[in-house]
This record gives sequence, C-alpha cells and structure tokens, in this order.
Amino acid sequence: MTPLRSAAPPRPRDTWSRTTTTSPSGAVVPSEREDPTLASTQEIQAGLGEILEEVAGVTPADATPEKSFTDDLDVDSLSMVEIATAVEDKFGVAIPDDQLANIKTVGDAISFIESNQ
Amino acid sequence: MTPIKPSQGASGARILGIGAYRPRRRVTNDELAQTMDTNDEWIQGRVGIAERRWAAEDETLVEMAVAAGGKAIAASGLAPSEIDMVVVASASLRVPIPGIGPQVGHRLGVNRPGAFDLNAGCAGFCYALGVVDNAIRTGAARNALVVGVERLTDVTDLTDRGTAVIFADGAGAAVVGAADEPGIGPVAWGSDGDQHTAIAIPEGLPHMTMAGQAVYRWATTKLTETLQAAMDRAGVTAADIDVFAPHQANLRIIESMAKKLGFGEKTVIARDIVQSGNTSAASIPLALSALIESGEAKSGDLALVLGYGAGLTFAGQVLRLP
Repeated sequence: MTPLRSAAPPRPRDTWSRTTTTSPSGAVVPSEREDPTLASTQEIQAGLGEILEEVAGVTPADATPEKSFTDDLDVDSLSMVEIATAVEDKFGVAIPDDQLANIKTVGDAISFIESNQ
Repeated sequence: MTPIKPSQGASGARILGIGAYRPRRRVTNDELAQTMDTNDEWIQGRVGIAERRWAAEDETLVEMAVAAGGKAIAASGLAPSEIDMVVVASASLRVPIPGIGPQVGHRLGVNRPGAFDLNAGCAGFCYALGVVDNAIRTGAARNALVVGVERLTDVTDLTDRGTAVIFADGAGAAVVGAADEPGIGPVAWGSDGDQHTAIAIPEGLPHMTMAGQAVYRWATTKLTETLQAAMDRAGVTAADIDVFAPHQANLRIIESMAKKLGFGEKTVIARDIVQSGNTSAASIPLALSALIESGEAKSGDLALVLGYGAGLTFAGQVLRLP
C-alpha cells in the first residue's frame, strides 16, 4: 500500500492559540488549562461531539472517550477524513493522514487535539 | 529576416457531438460480494456504486474508443474527413508504443489527423478538451475528436476490495469544432506532483494502488477553488450552471463538491458513477452522454466539468452542451 501523505498544510492556530504565562516565581512557562484561549477537555469533547453529529450523524452523548470511531460509532474511513478536516478548522490543529490512522477512539482524538492545539 | 507567419484560428470552439461506449458486461455489487469480503451496503455507502461495466477481451481500448468516437462524430453532423485532430486520453494502455490516437483516427476514417495520446489520469478528458479548444482557436486544427477511454480492470487487482469495487471500463468521446461564440470556457488546470504516489502503479507491481483517505481529503478540500476558477474564467456563476458533471470518482466527493458550490435546484448533478463505477478519463463524457440520453441535460445547457486524479492532476471548464 502506498504510504499515506498529508494533503493539508498545518493551519494557523487562529482559533485556539497556545500562549505563555508568567509563573509566581517569575519564570515564563507554557500555560495549559489556565490559558483561557486554549480549549479545555470538556470543550474539546463538546466540539468533537458537534462535528461527529454533523459529519456522521452520531448522537453527541454517545461520543464518550472510550468509544471506537469504527467499531462503536460506525464512522467509516472517509468520514474520518471529514472529521479530521472539521477538527483542523475548529481547533487549529493539523492532522496528517499518517497520524489520523492512529486515532482510533474519541479519547485518542481528544488527546491529539489537547497536545497539538 | 523572413518573418514566420502565425496561424489564424477561430474565435471560439464548441462541442458538436458526444458519444459513449459501455462494455457489455454489467457487474453488480452482489456479484463482487461472491468473490471478496464486501457487500452492496458497504460499497454503496463508501463510494456510491451500485454496478459497473467490465470490458471483455474483445472490448479493447481501440475498439471502445472507435465505438464512442463514431457515435460522437455521427452526433456532430460532421463527416470524418472534416476532422483533422484526434486526442485519446487514457491512463490504462498496457503497451505504450504505439499510442492509439493515430489508429483510432484511421479506423474512423479521419484522414491523416494530428493524433496523439494524453495521460493526465482521471483528468485526461478535460486536459484534452483544453488542448483541442486551444488548437482550434489558434488555427492548429479545425475540428477535433477527443476520446477518454479506459480498461482500468487491466490495472486493478480484482481480488482487492479496496479498488476492485471502484474501477471500471468504458469510453466517451466528443467532437469539438470552430464556433463564432465560445462553447468551451478557459480551462482551469494544474497539478499537485508532490502527491504523485497517492494513485499509482508502484514499481514492480502489476496493479494500481490508491491512498484513499489522502485522495478523498485532497478532492474534497483542494478542488473547490479550481471549480470556482473555471466558472470565474468563463464569466459565469454557480447559479448559471445547468449541469454539474465532475469526474465520477466517488459519489460522496460529487455530493461534497456540489454542496460547497451551492447549486440551486435547477442544477442537474451527474451521478453516473452509480451505474458505471470510476472509469477515469472516460467518466465525464460517459456521464454527459447519459444525461443527454435521458433528457436531463438539454442542448444549450451550461455544464461545469472537472477531471482530477493520478498525478495528481486536475482540470475543469465550463461547456455549452451540443
């Protein structure tokens, strides 16, 4: 099989941008949850639920982290591409096809967005 | 110094006739399900194909091209002797030498035309239309025959459910002639050669492989701008388009493109893939021919076409239907 390649260049982080904050000790550290411009886990799960509903007709409440896209939510490989491009637009992350192949569950997608946004 | 005299062409070119050839053998999803792990629901859900045509041994590229080309010439009202250019778009020649353009022209009674083959994958028919439109408008040709013909089953692993359910065989053709009013809009074409491995016959393999997800992503995100460019260059908008006939690669790509362009109710969307599968360079003339035969497309209608595929290549234009 031909290796999968990324069709989309990384998008600018316009929606959720990682910034830095100054810690009490004065050191500049990357912020995580404290950053109000960064989506929280709950926000990511909610946003992902909306995308799943729009693209694949999945009821958002069913899209819990342990669910497998293919086995539990009946999302096929082409719908995964549509979900990936919608996630890229919504969260400002890039999901190349080779990395998309590793995203099997809703939890995988949430973790990917959290660590790449 | 003696100046070189430039040619004088026509002010425009238009399609005068369209013809098609569908191989005799109809292959349903149920038939494929007998030999591989697939079923009708899976195939229709993924690619929207209900059945396709597979060519028999005697339905060669040349025979199918001649059959479709002959119908297009008959529909054009021209005599073969009035044609002086033949371009055959195909990506499935098993033997590259000689090309089949000259033979197709000869078989159809076209007298010593400028003739050649063109390989731009599934974009071949639109690339060829762009070439002959320019040839007629520059005076290099008066009337041209364009054929898209494929025997993709020759280059498909017919036991692989990922590709065997998709690719099929057939031929479609158009005769293009000089016209006072342009009937073919400026071509919007290009390529993304960095993705040359996405659809390919890898070295040492007899069959084509396709990175389905990568191609799907490319087709649904990168080609809307080409469709828009084809309309912009022709000076029309989506509201003017009577018929949308993109390459019949996957019904979901067709629906996605149609949704993004925002066609109204009057626009007929070609869904010939349901009956024909993906026939690469033949798919657009096959789809147009089916719409003309059924009466869904009428003479004078404005059609938006877009071919895209191996290369990766893409080409689109606005056409006035004959």
